[in-house]
Amino acid sequence: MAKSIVVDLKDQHVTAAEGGTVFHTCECVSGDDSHPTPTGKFKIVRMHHPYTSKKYKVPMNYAMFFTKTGEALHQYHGPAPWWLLRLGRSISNSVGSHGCVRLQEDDAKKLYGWATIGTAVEVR
Amino acid sequence: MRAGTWRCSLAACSLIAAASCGQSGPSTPESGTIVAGVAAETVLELTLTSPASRLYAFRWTVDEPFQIVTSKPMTEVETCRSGDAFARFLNAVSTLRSRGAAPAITGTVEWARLHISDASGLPPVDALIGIPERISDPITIDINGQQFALDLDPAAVRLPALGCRGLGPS
Repeated sequence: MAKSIVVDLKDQHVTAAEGGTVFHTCECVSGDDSHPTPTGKFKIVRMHHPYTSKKYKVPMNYAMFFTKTGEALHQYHGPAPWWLLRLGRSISNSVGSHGCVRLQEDDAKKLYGWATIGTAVEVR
Repeated sequence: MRAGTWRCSLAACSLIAAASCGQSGPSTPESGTIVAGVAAETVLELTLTSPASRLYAFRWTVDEPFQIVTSKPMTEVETCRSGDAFARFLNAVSTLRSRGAAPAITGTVEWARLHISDASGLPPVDALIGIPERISDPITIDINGQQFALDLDPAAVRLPALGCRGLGPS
């Protein structure tokens, strides 16, 4: 059964499924206005944990890269608490990542343990 | 005004305190967790270098076999095309899985730099791998100074030491 992850940008929500059966759903925070998360169909091409961004020099553990330009699903490590980040995002699209799909630690860990290289990722 | 300033300060302090909650520092990845994973079929270049040996394998497209160059100190450089044994080695090192905390190793460990570039366009995978002299000891990895054990085929990771005899066509 093929594994797939759908990132819903409008709802800021992630759904992981295998062969039509939902494995996990969770909240996410995607790219901001200036760095929108690319939409389309992709595959996970790299997995790294632990991981530090080479570009931004910040942690991004449980990183599942799905684009050639470095966008990944990964754990959120920012200074603001998750609820505040989500609240900010619900008010303005200027709040968000540099294109990655941020997840809470438990969700990132669960998805990372389930996904494999080649798992389909659709961002819509 | 003063009460308002106090309330603002209190709110800011609460925010900073809240910000520091829920963040976890680096910890050893659980056993079975992928530490670094790349699709073996997309790899274009691989190097494994240590004081005792050098391996350089490359191909221009993913449809080709790898060209291999190996060398050891004071020996001739060997070149060959990749064989089944190289595929075994590549499959082993393209997905590195944690085996938990690194136990103390009493024997000699040879540290080798593993470098893998693939067709994804992402920066290469770079890892420092400790290969113990005794095959029964665990292989370890060092990421940013943090060391832990790897679940890695101990025979496969030693194939490059055999040169083209170990990696070329059988």
